[in-house]
Amino acid sequence: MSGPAGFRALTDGEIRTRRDRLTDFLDAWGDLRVDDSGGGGNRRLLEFVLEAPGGSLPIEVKATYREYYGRRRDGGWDIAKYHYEYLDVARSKRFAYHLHDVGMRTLVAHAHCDDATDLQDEEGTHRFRAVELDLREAHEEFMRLWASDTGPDCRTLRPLEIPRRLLGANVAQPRFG
Amino acid sequence: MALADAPSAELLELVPKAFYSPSEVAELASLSSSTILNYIHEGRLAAVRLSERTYRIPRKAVIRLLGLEAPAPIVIEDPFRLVSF
Repeated sequence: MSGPAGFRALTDGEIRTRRDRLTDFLDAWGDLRVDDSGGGGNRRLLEFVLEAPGGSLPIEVKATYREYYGRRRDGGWDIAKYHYEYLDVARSKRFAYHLHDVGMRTLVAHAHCDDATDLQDEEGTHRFRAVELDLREAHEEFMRLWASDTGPDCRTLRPLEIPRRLLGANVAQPRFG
Repeated sequence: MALADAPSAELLELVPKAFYSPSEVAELASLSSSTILNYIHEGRLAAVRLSERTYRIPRKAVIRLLGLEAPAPIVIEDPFRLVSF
């Protein structure tokens, strides 16, 4: 398994350092729970669940960052996919950056945007174009959305178009998640 | 960086909101706004940049700056849990 462009393989120590640094980084934003699972096997999940603003205040946003890693033959870890999710509880909006297989194409970076207040959005979860991001970049974007007056605007995004031949025969574009 | 003896705990409770401006944090911490901006630029204080001159600082970062008690992150490590994807 080889990592996507922009990501390099991590050793056990590096992935632990990454987990701890991201924990420190995200902790400033709200109540944080971190789950590091599977490090003793061949598949590992780093999950960060942030509820903000935290403390005694009602939850306004929830951000979930999941990074999935596969063990390399040399013992290191390659990122296999990620799901960076932002849910604006107060404004009923969801924005996400994903990297995973889409149909027959491997590791496609894309975004999701759902606006529960937009009645014209009848198709549900669409995919939109996006570039590969580091967790910190996604988090900074999510926090900017939270601090802004309006939150995510799905209408500004460009649809992700994948040739039908590269999609599985039973998969209809663009309804899958 | 925690400010011991900061007299701002009550004030922070009186103004319960998700984000604070640098000038509000400066007042709470009895520091200058430029010091707060320096903290942000040095990466010592979390903040979101809304425009070239506009920053917002999350509540928990303010609580930490003031040396007040805040919930610690919960970290669970389970190397033997089966992960599928």
